Amino acid sequence: MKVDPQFQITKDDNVTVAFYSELMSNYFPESAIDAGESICSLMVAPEQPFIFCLDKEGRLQGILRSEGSASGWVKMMFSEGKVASFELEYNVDEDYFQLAKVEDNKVWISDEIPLDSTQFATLDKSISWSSIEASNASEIINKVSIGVEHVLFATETKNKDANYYVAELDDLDPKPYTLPENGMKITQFELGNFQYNAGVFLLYDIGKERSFIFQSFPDAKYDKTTKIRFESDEFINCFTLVESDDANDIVYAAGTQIHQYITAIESNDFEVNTLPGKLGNIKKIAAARNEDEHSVWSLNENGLHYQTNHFFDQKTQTFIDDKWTQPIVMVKDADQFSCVKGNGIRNQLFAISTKHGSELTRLWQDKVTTLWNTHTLTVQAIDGLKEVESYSAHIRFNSKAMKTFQGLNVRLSADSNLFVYVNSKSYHIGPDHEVDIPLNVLAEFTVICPVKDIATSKIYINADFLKETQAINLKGKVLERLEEKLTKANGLGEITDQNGKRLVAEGTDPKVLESAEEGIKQMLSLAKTMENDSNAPLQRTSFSIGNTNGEIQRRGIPKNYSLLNEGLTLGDFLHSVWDGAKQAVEFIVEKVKTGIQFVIKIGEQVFNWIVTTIREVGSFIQKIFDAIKVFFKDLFDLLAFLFDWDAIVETKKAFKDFTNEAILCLKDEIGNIKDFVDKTLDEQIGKFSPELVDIPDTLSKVDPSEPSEKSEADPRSNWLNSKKDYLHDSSQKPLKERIPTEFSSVFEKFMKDLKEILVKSGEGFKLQMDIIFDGFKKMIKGEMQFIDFLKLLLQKLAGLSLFLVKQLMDLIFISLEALINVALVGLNKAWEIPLITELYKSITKSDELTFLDVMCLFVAIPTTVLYKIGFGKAPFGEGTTKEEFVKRGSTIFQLNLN
Amino acid sequence: MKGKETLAGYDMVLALSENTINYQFQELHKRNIIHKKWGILSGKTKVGDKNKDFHITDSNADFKKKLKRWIDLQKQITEARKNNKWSEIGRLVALVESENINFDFGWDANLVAPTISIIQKDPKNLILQISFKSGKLYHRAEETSAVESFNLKGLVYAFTVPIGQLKVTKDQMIMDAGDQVENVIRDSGLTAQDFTIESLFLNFQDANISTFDKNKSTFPQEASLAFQVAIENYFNIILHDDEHPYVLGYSIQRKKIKATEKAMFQPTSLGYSTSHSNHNKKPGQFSSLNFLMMLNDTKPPTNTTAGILPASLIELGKDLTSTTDGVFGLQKNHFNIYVKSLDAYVQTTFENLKGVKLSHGFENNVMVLTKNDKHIDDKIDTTYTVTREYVQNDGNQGIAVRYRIDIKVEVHVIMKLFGEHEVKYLSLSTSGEYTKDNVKDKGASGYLDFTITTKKTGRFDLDHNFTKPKVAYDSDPNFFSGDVFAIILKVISLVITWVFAIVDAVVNQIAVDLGGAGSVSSTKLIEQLNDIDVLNQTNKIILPLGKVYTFKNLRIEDKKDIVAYDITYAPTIEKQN
Repeated sequence: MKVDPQFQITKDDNVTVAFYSELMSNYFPESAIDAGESICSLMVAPEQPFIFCLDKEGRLQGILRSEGSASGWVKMMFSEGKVASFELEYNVDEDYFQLAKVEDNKVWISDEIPLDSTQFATLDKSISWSSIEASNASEIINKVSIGVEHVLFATETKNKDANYYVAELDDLDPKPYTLPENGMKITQFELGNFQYNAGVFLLYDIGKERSFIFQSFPDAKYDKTTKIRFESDEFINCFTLVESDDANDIVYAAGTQIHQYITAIESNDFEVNTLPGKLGNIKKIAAARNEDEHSVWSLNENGLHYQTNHFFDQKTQTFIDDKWTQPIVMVKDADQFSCVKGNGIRNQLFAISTKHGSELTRLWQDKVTTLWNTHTLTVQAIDGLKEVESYSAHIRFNSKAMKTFQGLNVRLSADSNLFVYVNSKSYHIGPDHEVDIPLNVLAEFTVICPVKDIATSKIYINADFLKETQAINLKGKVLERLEEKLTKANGLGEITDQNGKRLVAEGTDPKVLESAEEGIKQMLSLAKTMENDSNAPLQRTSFSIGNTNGEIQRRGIPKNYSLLNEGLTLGDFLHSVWDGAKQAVEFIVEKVKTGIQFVIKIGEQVFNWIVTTIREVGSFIQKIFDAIKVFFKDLFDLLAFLFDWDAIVETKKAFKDFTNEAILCLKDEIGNIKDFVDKTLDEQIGKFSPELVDIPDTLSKVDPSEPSEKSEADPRSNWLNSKKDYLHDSSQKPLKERIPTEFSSVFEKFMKDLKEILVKSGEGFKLQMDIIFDGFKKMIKGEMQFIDFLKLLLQKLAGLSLFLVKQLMDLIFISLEALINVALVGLNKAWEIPLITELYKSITKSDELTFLDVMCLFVAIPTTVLYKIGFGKAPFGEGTTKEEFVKRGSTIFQLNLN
Repeated sequence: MKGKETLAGYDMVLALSENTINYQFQELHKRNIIHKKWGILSGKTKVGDKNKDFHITDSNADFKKKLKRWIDLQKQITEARKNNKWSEIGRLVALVESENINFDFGWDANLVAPTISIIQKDPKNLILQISFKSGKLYHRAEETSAVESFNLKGLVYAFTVPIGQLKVTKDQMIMDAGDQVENVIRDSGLTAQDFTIESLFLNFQDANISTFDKNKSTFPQEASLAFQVAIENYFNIILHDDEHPYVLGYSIQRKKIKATEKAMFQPTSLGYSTSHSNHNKKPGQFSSLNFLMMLNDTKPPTNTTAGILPASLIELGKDLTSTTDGVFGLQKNHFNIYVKSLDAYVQTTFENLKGVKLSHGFENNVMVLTKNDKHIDDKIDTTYTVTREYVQNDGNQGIAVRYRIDIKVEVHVIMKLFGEHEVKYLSLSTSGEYTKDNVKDKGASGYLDFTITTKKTGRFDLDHNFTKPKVAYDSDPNFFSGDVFAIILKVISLVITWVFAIVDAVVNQIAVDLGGAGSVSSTKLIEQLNDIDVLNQTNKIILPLGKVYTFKNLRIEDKKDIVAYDITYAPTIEKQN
């Protein structure tokens, strides 16, 4: 809806921002993505990955990051049947990509898919394919690879050598090639360049041996090829290529170690390096390059490992290129993976683990804090219900001006990169990644930031109507709450969570507990210092956790120390080394010029970083808890706001009974109302004006669709409000199917009859009617009281020919009567709404969700929550209160016009 | 044809196609491994009172400046001469000398990749062509003449190169090749390195540069003499430069290749020849440069036809796609060494069986073994006859070797009653036709099948299969039925059970040793097999050049009496330790 700018709020309207953030559970109608073998991914737009992988049935599926969509990911299919192999190739120079797949023993090649002009959300519909085949039908095509100019496929034939075919993408005329040896099966191949020749890298089996070679395309003059064999002292399982600046590929081949081969430029001296670390059998390897920064990902039975030559020198706190780090475990139990590089999201990785139901997971590293984040990739699923632990911030803008926020935007960003939900839509926000959030009349929204530990960031709000940037610390009162619990309880060991369960397992070494408590306190005070006044002096502190002799260590940074895991960033360290550390951990924290210096000593190893964000400190607190076997789930139970679903359901029941009473009342009263309207209209015939029907002056000035009451910003009471979008999610079923049929048939008849009136009244009336319908919908949903609606109606109808008004009112009353007649049945019929139905069923274990339940839940949740916050108990804990409340329903619609 | 004739007196020949060599030269050129430029200024310099030859190359930073200055001064000299300004001439000549630019000629040229062509009916020479892409040759006829320049664009200088012979024996290394190669060879012996294109290039340096080929060369008539002198001069200068292994003006470094393990067929001498072929009207593909090799320190043949192959081996190629680069041939009698060791292995397998005695090892492809058993008083004598049936090509799969196993079991049923009495004699064998009771199938020979295929770097892979032999009665056992023999029959049936037990024990042991159904399902057994000394060579290098060439499509060329492979030129890169 377009709004005239003169009615919109501006900078001069003294907008105030109310917000509140809380650690709590949230629910999304999502389900994890089933994934089978192989996966590849591409950034189709800045920070927008497109992932391709096979599903469990072997079909090719695409999963697209879709900023501002429900789960943040949409799924589409790219094959009808089983796909034996597939690959994508991105043309850097011309900025398009192409897909190739093997289906029905044919190779299918997609048209060029330009990144700048493709609607990726509908790529499954717009994509077109061409196919090619092997020269002999007895050849089984088992592999495909695509390059910028060529497509490549391999075939197997019983008792014969394997062949491969190369076709130029321009003519798709496949030419067969033989292998230099009697290889029976090609296990991997890639198009690439070596020794200034374009050709194919091939990994194939000869008996039980493995050969790894490069064969160029034949020379036009001599019809000969260059062949190079890459040798190492072990069996090569896989390889990957990274293009270097001289257009030759740098080859990474992996057995149990990773070997790097670099073309000699003007000599025969090739560079062959073996990277540090012995990993066991590596079954997949990927590498990426950003200028001189190389990263290598390798997968073996223990999981996915990462190493980089972007070596973080802890002494100088800078990165050194050309020195490789030791490999560190990034994802345990991964079976397949694909990685992409981005800017804000430094490293991004998609992994499939079959051990845990073949879910597609994403792991990404924030550039600012270098912290690693992991979550399961999901797509919106109406029947799905996914519980997400999150920081939820409810943000509301207020202004006394008689203007609207409708049509205005706010811009969200954050001090480190985050993936958040705003109004149930997924967005990426970060220091360099700002998103626009549209406001409507209700100038409020909820930001939900899923987390896996208690660490979190600041988000920033900018808007044209704001005088300055608003910073919201998502952590809310969580750290304070933690501090309070620590202070109140007699030591860390005595803390119990909200369900009365001990936080720390009994039998934990008291000395260890003591040192952990000391560490947590230090960190909490550090967080406070960082937040309140960055210039405040910080005491140099040190403490240790783990299996030490129990004494809190206080000593300086050792001069000589071995650096086995040298080169890691703090994020890498916390993600991998820490978790594996069985030894005592010792910390030294000290304020330095550029931030806070952390020195961590595990056994004989010393690590050293400077941190600048609270998120890093939070991550640290979490890690200290991890060390005493208190995990995020336990901290969540201790610190999060937990919904008392039993009380909410109880409240909802009261409202439901109340409403049923109210409907009966309305049924009795409708005659009176009709009389009132008729009488008013008849009496005032010829001199009709809104004032004469006793409508207060203010009504005509205030936008009636604006809520009459304002409550404080609070994600707890607004919990369900932030999910209302699911009610009228247009991508789902049409409205008609989403409400009970009894109502919809009344609606339909109403609309049909209304049309006739509209024809008579002319187009100008239509605008007024839109507002009336809006009000009507709100009344149905419980957002507007009946009397308010009635007043709105009369007001909007002023100016119409009274004859028409009377006709219209008749129609409305007929409809209303019909509605009431079906209401008792309709309201109590089951209603399927995304998320809410599933959630309701899970809360109540079995109850069916009716239309009325939904309406009542919208009221019950904030009521219960706020009541509990205010009074410390649920509103309908005692029977008599509830009865009295229900009774009030029987008089609610009585017109009190005296 | 005898293998010796096919390979012109040599034990092994590796034939590399002309196209491959030219393609590789082009690659070396493309990658700047061989010089793309000729840049030299050559003349005289004063050392004390004497004039000495000297030169500067384009690696000198002032090369272009000096060239320009030289041309300029020589021009001034001719002007002065024209005007009879003798003092001016004297001054200028002195200037040339003092600036040390007293050059006679200079090259400033860009080259395209050199090429070779194999000459018909001349297996001891080939033609090397040097072609100029652009640039000039500068020449000063005498001290006071102007510098003339010849445009070199598109010119070709072709000349005949005799192909060097390199003989390496165990005790003495005789070099027909140049000094540079000598050190390398002396240090490392004959290795895979000697079979790289780079080493081939090094071997061309014996070329008699002055005997250019008029038909293939294209240089200006009017300048032919100057051109030839300049080229000769160029080579003389460059070839005497000891610091870099320059060959024909091209700088090249030998590819570093790790020393190969000693191969079963380790060459001990190396020579070269060429074979021209117009097969399929593609001389470039089928004409070959041959690496001629002898094994076991045998002296290379010296007769006039030695090394002159009756036909290019590449004509035998099975894979003729762009992937392959030539053909490798080995006299079949040498390959038989390998087959003999396979015989020895089979013999050991049987000898190692409990109670089995060797009557004789493989004689005319037949080996006989016996085993004598006693069951209570009854005697069971078994004879195993193992025949190597064939060594032949196995479709696409390499070379198949088949051993047939025949078994004959003789049973003497003895009754001890007042002395020993043979109450019954009967025999069972793999050719027996009669069945009864336990003996359900007719007799059938067993087979041990081996398939020899090539693995990486010139190793052999040995795949195998074992078909169990079956024995049946040689005469109708039902003949013995009747009341009188009832007891004897009972005895016989007991004895037959034993016969089977004995045969099965042997057969099963072979199956265990070799694995029943080929190597794929029995890695462990192959490992055991590789532990057996005789066959240990399956895990060893058979062919010597595995780090430079790949070998595929192992086959017997019966008509030529050789074992042949298709080869590709595929050097390995690996860590240099």
